[in-house]
Amino acid sequence: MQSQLQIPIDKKIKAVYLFVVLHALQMGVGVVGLPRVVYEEAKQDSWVSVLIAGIALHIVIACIVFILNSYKNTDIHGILAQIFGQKISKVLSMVFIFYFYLMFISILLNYIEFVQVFIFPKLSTGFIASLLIFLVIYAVYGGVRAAVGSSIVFFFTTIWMVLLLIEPIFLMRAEYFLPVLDNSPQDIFSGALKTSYSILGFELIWVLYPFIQDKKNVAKYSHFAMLFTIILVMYVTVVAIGYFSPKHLEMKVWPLFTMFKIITLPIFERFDVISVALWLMVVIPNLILLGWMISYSCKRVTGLKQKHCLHVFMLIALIVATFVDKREYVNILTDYVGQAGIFFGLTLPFLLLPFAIYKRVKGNKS
Amino acid sequence: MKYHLLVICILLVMLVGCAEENIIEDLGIVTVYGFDKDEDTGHLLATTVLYQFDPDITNASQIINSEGDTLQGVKRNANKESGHKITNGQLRVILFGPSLSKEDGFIEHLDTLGRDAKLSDIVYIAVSDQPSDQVLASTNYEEAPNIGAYLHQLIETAVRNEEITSSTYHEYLRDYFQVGRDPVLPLLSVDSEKVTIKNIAALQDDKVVGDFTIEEGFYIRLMVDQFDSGLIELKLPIEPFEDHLEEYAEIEDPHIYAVIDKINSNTDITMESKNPPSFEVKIDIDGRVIELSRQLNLDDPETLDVLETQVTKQMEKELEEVINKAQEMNADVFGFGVKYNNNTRGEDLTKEQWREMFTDIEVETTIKINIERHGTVQ
Repeated sequence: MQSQLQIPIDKKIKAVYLFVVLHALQMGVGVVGLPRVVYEEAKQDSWVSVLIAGIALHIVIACIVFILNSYKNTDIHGILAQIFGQKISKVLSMVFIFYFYLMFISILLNYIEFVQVFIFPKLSTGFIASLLIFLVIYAVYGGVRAAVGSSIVFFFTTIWMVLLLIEPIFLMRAEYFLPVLDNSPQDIFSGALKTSYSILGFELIWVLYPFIQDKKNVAKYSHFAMLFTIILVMYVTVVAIGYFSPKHLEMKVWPLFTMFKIITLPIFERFDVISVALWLMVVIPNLILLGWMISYSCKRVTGLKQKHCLHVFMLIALIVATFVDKREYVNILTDYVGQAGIFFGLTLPFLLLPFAIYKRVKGNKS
Repeated sequence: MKYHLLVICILLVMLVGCAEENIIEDLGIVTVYGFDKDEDTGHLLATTVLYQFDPDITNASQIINSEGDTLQGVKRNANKESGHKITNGQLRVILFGPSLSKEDGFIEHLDTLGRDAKLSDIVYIAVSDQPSDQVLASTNYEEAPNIGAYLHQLIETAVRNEEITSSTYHEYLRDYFQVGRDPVLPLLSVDSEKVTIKNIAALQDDKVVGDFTIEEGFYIRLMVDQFDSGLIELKLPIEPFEDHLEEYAEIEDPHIYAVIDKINSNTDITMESKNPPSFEVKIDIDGRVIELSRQLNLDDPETLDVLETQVTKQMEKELEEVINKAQEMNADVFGFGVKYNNNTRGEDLTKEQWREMFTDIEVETTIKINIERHGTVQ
């Protein structure tokens, strides 16, 4: 495996797209249920948990960008290869790919569940999964630029949905936020950990880095992306706490969709149904970016053709999705991915940091 | 290869149309459910009011009585009596008769509203003082297509005119779960074949424990919400005004009636002490005089001052009466308990604890009224 990648200029992207791409991958199925998940831990101080998670996120992304800048034109697999040697690094890379693959499957299954609960209860999981997977394969064929391009299109077609929460905002009550900071720091901290599933996805930068044309801007735009994600997550959490009373919020599996339930427009009596359908446009970029990342990483590590990797992964995903369709399993899988994310997303950068510092120091001496 | 994929994608997208079809002529669309309890069998007695969109029938509304134990079960049983597929998606009002609302409670019948994504969150919950089948059988429902649509209009108009507090499923349920605040619901009643909002029912959880008149409801709304354009009629004693009257006719009434509308209010409740719980309520009201039963020259600042003082006095008195009445019922519809809970750190209030404390709380009210205008008459 070559460690320094030479990406042709026609495959490179501008750093400014990182803003949309990283944000698009972070936003997805997690934020729909996030208010409840955090609330179960940190109660009315959930917004503090999200704030802490946001600060942690910025530190992590700064760390990742520092490591990537130290190793110049390479991605996570190249870095692992330089640190641990070819053999061990391959195993580590495989684990990394498997983690992204689990994330892919959990997003797929979670979205399918939305559709089944809100719109078509009788539509089989396998059928919806095959629809989505075909779309993903089609987009990934287009390469990295198609994957990035599609997320930009879908970002602009869905971002207006933040305005939909205006109606719930009018029904918010200040009393649900009081008393402020009444929960123990442990509760607030575990709330921050629970936020992780909703803000995972920034790991994409590990793989996308060599494709970026103007590397000096990477830090700036990736921080912007994190800031934007945290602002949105905070917004949803705060509105949900104010809109539901305490026990009420803990009952709602997907508080965000429940908040859409009170919106009626003259042409759409029940906007929540439309919003679930629209959520496809939030989820599809997730799947496409992850699909590209998995298949590309597979090619890097095993040397197989990217297309073949993609086909195998998507076929297995389809089979898994067809058989794992109970809410219980989906929950377990989502929990595991969230926990794995704490290691792969938030801890791994700090483990690699000493090597990067060592490399910089050595580089300066010679 | 790419072309083939595109064809497959288009095909798959088109196939979604085959998922589940609902033809509107074949549907019986429920607008209101009324629930009572059968005293003999213990089952739920339901009255289902349906819409039908069949161009051939003239009377598009239907009422079906059925039995069951759950809302969905009742729906299934109602389906046995109708050639249409009964769907809940357009449900607007759920009405509970006294057998449920006064004795057994009805919270278990609301579960499916939250669970079934087909049901909306803006369904109004209401209670009635007669069995709900009688209420729904009333024949005068103005120009509305059926009784369900009428009830929805009736409640929504009252909510929009700020006569009652909104009581949608979401709002009822969040008050139900909130410790230290009890919900209120509109109490419907049939009067000569027409349904009216008679009173405002105060609940302990899901049981009606008493009711307030619409006029008393004004003060409840004043405490829990903000008015943008409310209206209140006040009966004031005549004595303080005697020097200011400018009569053009002899009226033999020891009172003066004043109507204030376009009321804009702001309420601030603060907890004064914890043991015994005492609260201070400060209310600022802006409004205009729209009707007076006796002539007063309100351009004279002195007269206006007297009017404002008397209105304040009267309102404070009535507000205290409403609070006392709520304490007698032991239903904290104002949310004092929430204030108490928010001001005590590190301990969690339970509903039972607050029920014991609420009857003994002390409330001091200060109302500040500001009459901005008084119409086209001096």
